[in-house]
Parts: sequence; C-alpha cells; structure tokens
Amino acid sequence: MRKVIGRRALLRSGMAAGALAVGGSLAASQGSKAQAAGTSGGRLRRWAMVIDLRKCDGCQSISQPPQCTEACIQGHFAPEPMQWIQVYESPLEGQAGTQFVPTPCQHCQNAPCVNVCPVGATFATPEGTVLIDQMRCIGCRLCMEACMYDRRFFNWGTPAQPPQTLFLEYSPEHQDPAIRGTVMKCDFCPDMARAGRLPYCAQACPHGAIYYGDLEEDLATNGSEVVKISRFLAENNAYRLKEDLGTKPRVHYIPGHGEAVGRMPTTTGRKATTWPWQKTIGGALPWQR
Amino acid sequence: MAEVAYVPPAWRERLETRGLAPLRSTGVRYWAWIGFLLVIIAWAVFEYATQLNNGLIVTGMRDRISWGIYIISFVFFIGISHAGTLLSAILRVTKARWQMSVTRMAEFITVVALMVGALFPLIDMGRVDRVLELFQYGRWQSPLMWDILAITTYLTGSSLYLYLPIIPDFALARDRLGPAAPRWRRVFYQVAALGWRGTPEQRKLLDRAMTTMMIVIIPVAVSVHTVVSWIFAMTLRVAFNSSVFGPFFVAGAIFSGIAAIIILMAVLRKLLHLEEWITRTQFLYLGYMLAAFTLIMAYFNLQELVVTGYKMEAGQTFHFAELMTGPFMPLYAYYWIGGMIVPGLIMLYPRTRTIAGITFAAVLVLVAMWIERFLIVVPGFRVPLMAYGARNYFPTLVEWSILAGAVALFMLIISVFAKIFPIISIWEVVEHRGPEPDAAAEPRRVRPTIRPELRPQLTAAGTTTTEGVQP
Amino acid sequence: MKRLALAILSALAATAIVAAPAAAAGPAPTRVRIAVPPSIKLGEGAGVQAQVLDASGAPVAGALVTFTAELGFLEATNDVVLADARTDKAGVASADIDLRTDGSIKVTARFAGDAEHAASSASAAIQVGGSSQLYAQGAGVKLPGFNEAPTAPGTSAALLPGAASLWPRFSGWPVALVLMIVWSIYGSVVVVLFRVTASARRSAQ
Repeated sequence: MRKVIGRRALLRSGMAAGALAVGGSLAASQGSKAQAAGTSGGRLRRWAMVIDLRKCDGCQSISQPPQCTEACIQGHFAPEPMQWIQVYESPLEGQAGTQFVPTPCQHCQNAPCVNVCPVGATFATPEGTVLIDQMRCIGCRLCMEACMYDRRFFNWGTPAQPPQTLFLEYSPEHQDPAIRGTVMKCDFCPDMARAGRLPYCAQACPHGAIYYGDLEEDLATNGSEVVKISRFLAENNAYRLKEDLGTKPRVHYIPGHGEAVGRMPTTTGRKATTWPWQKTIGGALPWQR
Repeated sequence: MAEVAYVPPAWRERLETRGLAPLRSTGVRYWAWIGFLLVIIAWAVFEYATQLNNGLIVTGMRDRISWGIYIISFVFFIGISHAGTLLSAILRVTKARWQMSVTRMAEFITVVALMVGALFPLIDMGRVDRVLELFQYGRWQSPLMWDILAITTYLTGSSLYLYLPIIPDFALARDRLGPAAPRWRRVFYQVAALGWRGTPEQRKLLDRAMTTMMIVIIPVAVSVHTVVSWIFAMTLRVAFNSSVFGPFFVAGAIFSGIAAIIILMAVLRKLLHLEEWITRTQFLYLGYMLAAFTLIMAYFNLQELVVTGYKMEAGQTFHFAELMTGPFMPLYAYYWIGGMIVPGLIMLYPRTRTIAGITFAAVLVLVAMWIERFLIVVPGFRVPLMAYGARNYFPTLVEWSILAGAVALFMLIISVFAKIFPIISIWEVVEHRGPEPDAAAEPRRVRPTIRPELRPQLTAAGTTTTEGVQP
Repeated sequence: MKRLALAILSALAATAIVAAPAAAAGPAPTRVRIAVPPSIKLGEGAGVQAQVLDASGAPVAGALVTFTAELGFLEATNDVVLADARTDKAGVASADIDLRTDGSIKVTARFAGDAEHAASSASAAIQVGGSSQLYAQGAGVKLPGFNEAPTAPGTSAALLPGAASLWPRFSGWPVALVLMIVWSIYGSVVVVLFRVTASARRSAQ
C-alpha cells in the first residue's frame, strides 16, 4: 500500500492553493484566474477520472475494506454513513459473478443536480468539477432527487467528525467542517491536484486502478503510470455510467471485474467500510443511508 | 350582473340572517373546537422544535428516500387548493348558477390550503434559517423556484379573487350587524367594504374586476399544479421521468379539490344550518364531477401503466412490482378501489347518491389522493439507482405530528375565517339564484314539465309538427 | 495463380536470406532515425516519421515503431504512448501525433526489436507553443433562461475567473415575462377596486 498524503500534511506544506482558494474567496471575485488550476501554459485544467475495473477487486486480495473509500473518509473526514467514493458490487451483465465499481461523484457536465438547485449552491466550476457550497445550501434535497448516481449525502443529524475539523477553514473544495442540514459529496479533490497530489482514492488504491487526469492535456495518472486519456479510453472500450441519460459524466470506466489482479468474478463480497471517528464527537449520531 | 329576479323578502331575510349568524354570536362549542385545534398545533410545533434541534434525523427520511410526508402533504394541500378555482372560476365563467352558495367555501379552501401547503417545503428544509437566500440567490432555472413563484402568484390571485365577491357581503355586514357588534368588527367591515353602496357604477366595476380575475386565475391554477409536478418530472428517475405528470397532477388536484369542497360543504351545512341554501343539488352536481374525475384519473393511471409498462425500462419492472405485488400493494389497491371504483359506483347508483353517500365518497377520494401522492413519492424514490438494496421509509412520530398539526391549522384558519367572512356569498345567491325550488330534491322520475306553448301541436291533418318549438 | 505463388515463394526466400545470418549471431543491431517538425502549435497534429535501418543501413520493413513522449502529470512522469505504426518498404513509419502539453516535448520513436533485430530508439524535441484551450464540452441544448448551469456563486468566487453574480445576466426572462403579465393583471384589478372606493366617495358627496 502506498502512503496517502493527508489533508493536514497538505495544508501544512502545500498551502498555496488552499490558502488562495479560501482567503481569496471574499476578496477576489474578479480576475482571480490564478486560483483555478492551470497547465504551465496557463490553460485551465479539465479534471477527469478513469477507473480501470480490470484492476479493481474490491480490495479482496488484501483483505481490507476498499482502500479508496477508507482514504477518502480519512482525508475528507467524511461523516459516518458517507462513502463519497463507494465500491458497489454489481452483477456482471451476461455472465455469472459480480464486478466492483468504485463510484465517486460522476461530475456530470450536464449535471441534473446543478440544474435544479434553487440557490446555486451546487455549481459547476470551469475545471469541470461540480461542487457544493455548504454555506449556501438550504437543504431542500432537490439535488438528491435529481442525482441519478446516488452520490449525494445529506447531513440528517449532527455529522460525526473528528474534532480537528473544527479548526479547518471552510471551502467548497474540501467541505470541512460538515454542516448539519446540508448536502455533501465527492469534490474531486481539486485542491489536492493543484498542490500536485492525486486525490485520496487514487493515492490509496493498492492496484492503481484509479487514474486521475486532465482532459485538456489529455493525460491521466494513477501515481505510477501516465497515460494519454483519449488513447487509453479508445483502446479499452471505456464507458460511462448511465451514459444514455445524457448527463455527460467526467468519470470513465474500463470494463472488467478485477481480472488483471487475479480476481474471479464468482469471488463475491468485500469488507465493510469503517469510520475511525464514529464515536469521537459527543452529540453526533450516525445514521443509515 | 344578471337581472335581479323577484326575491321574496322573507326568503331574503332568512338568507341574510343565516349568512350573518356566525358573525354575530359564538358558542362555547366553537371555542372548545378552536382550543382542541390549538392543542394539536402546539403539539406539532413542539415536534417541529425537536426537528430543528436535532436536524432531519428525527424523520424517517434518509439519503435514498430523501423526501417523505412533508413533500407528499405539500403536493396534497396544493392539490386541494384547486377546489376554489374550479368551483368559482370555471363554473362562473360557464355561468353555472347552482354553485353560487358554495363558491365562498371553495375560495376559502383555496386560500387556506395554499397557506398551509406552502409551509411544508419550509418544514422539509434542512436549513430553514437560510430561507431568505431564495430571494438573494434564487435561480430561475430551478423547479423549486418555479414553485415559489407560481404559489406566490396563485395565493395572491386567489386572495384577491376571494376578496372581490366578498365586498358586497362586507357591506351587508356593515349595514346589518348594528351597534351590538364589537368595535373591531364594525371598523373591519367598514374598511373592508370599500364604501360599497351597490350603485350601478360600482356594480359595473366589480363585475369587470371579477371577470378579469376569474379568467386569469384558471391558467394560474393550472400552472401551479403543473409546476408542482415538475419538481418530480424534471428529474431522470424512472418513476418520475414522464411527460404526463403535469396534466396528471392537475387532474388529481381538481379531483381532490372537489372532494375537499364536498366535505367542507357537508360539515358547514350541518353546523351553520345552511340546509336551505346548500341542498342536494350542490352535492349531486359536485358528485357528478367527482365521478367524471374518477374516470379521468383512471384514464391517466392506465395510460401511465400501459405506456411505461409496455416498454419496461430498467427500474420500471422493480417499480411496478413494488406497487402491484410488493409492499405498496395494499395502498395501491386502496387507491384504485377506494379512490376511483367505489366513488364511481356510489355516484352510479341512485340509491347511494345521497348527501351522506356523496360525502362518504368524497372522504374516500380525499384519503386516496393523499395516498396517491405517497405512492408517487415513496416508491419512486425506492427504485435503486445503483447496486444497493431498496431502502424503506417509515414516517416517524414527528412527521405524523406535523401532518396532524397542518391539518389542524387548515381547520383552524377555516374556522376563524367562517367567523369573519360570511360563509355564503349572500348577494350572489340573491341575484343569481333566487328562491328556486331544489330540483334535485324532488322525486327522481319526474316527467319534465313542458310549457304548453312548446308542446307539439296536433294539426288538423293528424300529423305532428314541431314547428316553432324551441329546444 | 502461378504468378501469385511465385511471388509468395520469392518473398519467403528473401526473408530466409535476410534472416539466416541474423539467426546465427543473435539479433542484429538496428538504428532508428526520427524526423519531427521543430515546433508546432497546441491543437495542431504533428506528422512524425521514423526510419528503422539495420546495421548495414538497409531499411527494415514491417517493424512496429511506437512513438512516445516523455510527459509528467501530478505525481508521475513516464513515456506516454502516443501512436504506433509499422514501417513500409523504405523502413519508414509515419504517424500523426497529438500533443496537448506545451513546452519542449521529447518525442521518442522506439523499435522494440524482434527475433532478428535488436531494439533501438531515437528521440527529438518538439517545441509546442500556444495557450489556446483545447477541450470544451457543451452540455446539450442551451435554452436561454432555462437550462444554463450556474457557475461558481459569489461566496466561492475564488474558483471562477471573473465570477459574475447570477443577476446581471438575467437568464430568467421567459419566466419573468409571464409573471409580469399576470401580476400586472392583478394590478389592474386592484386599480379597479380603488375606483370602487372612489365611486363611493363621489356618490356620498
């Protein structure tokens, strides 16, 4: 397993992007181009993800809960029932057995959630990510109804988070501290990417199944290998979830069931996700999804 | 304004006395009733406070069924608000006269149901403290914003439309209540009557205003319920992704609205002794409409079932199985039997077509229409979007209490209104209906009486001619 | 038929002749020559060519040449495969590559070798200039006033260059127009009510 660079380390060392994004939010509404992540030539990034299902065995081989989810929870301090990237085990079409599908927010380019939000609390960034401003969210949950991927999470009660979240400065890019009565979801870690790191899930995947990339440079990496996205997708029959709905997700999948890491489709089941701090905050009461 | 027919003074006196009676005196039973309602409302407020305190975790809603009783009741109350529009506006436009004695009640239902229904989205909000952001950052593209705009417009319009035909009755109250009435009443009626004297000019102006409103309120009402349906139909979920939702919800709204007005009519008729003015005619005609709408609703449901069921898009199989053989089967069966078949049968048989029978049918329909909204929302949300097991939704005590509180609030506002506004549109009954006999109360197989001059005349040649007969 | 069979036979013979010495002494060394345009603009395809020659300088036909570029992204850097092509009779493999990273890009043509030929490669740099945004994705049909997605709102304006509030663009005009019509009708009704009062005052005088 690779070492996951955590938020606190990032905040301490990198700082640049995070501080700009947070501090600049009040001051700069105009001409704040510098804050959006750019290439060396100043072009905007267009974040995307490619998940190679051939390499995903639901972490059966290491007998652990899916590491992407675990790392995401620990990195984002996600409250108890929330798995912003959730590894669904779904039946394989046309054959026996199952496949594991790690499902983050799909960051649709025609996002139903963005369209229905009455106050613009869910919004699309020029980088192509869909973020939620929990300081504005009114908790009407219209977006949860609209999301066709079940990727939105509501803080029904007081969210269970470790105490250090209280000292984090809020930004829609990392959503901490969580606010009761608002909606949360995967934010695609643009703050991490700006600081030159992969998202927690991609860092943590033991098999390098999650590629995070930029459609503008047409490059993606899983931490060890860089691929040209367009070629990688075309050569491997990539698809997107519920493509026919026209939501245009930014998350691509390469079909498979973990065969590249030696999983048989008939080996089913995975370890349950855990939340290390579920009992650490008084008053917080985890709920079921 | 129609020409005023000959009105017997005694009849008119009776009508005015009855119509103004609730404004004059209030009994102990009324205050007991108000107290009872206030207790329920206080309980609901207490439960709402727990919800504010702990968050929506106290409800049965969770991420996968993220809307519950609150949104169901929102749709339900906005639905019954269509009673007023239908009875007052559509029937006034078509110059039907039998409904004149119940228009006021129907308009009450509209205004009160809108006021109560509009509370539900607020109750449902996770951060109700940020409600003003809707004005600060509101987006025109959001179905919720359309709801807010449409309901505001409809509430304003229907309040105006409630007020217009009340002006002459306010003037009547001002003139007739006398010095015995409390001071606030006298001042209120004085101001609210706008100096109405019933002069021809005033009548012309009022007539113009009412005509404008009755025409404009119909498209507004249709738009309101269409937009309410769009908070579902604007999403891609299999159960909601349908273009029939708009008309379907409008029809359902009118259906439940008719049921609501029949029930209110039956209650107020008894309590306020209005038997002379609210007769079997009103029940019968509204019952016929109810019967017609059972067919319309059945048609909409069938066409939805056939069109989506034929194709069986992914997820639809699950949805239909849930409704027809799964956990929702009893409710779904009740919706068909209690909501459409039995009320239709009640109206079909003359023996059951009594005031009691029609009221019973209306109660069945009203309950069925709440269940129908439940069956749209909950099974619709239950269809799994990804590979997970369907989640259950059981409303909690908090949700039921708040629903009970809302129903109590609805009744409370109606009860208060009945003490302030004359519950029958007295002047309209006088002008438009007059003391005509209650046609429907007569024995059923009455041969139509035809005026002698319209009878076919036997000619000398022994042939019948219908010349000169006006249909 | 005869001629075709003859051609196949002679081809086989030719292969045998070339292969014979190589088989004896292991894979023969090869070299690759690469030709690239010195500079291109972002978004332009670059035609690149590589020639595979054996030790004697004779072209190697049918060799698979992979074109890669050394590119880094976030935590990793490696040779990213851009295209592959087989050499023709003149030993030349041609491909159009699509570079989307600006700067000086080291492009490598690599021949992986086969039974007779040893692997070899050659590199050249392409200067990629320009700053035009290449990737754009529109979302469906844009209906003015209906489905325009909001971009970053005011409070998190840091994420958006020149984040504008939603109001100046005023995309809701169709809804606003309908509302204005209805509300002005309401207004006209209220005006009529004022005239009712005014009429009462007149008749009182």
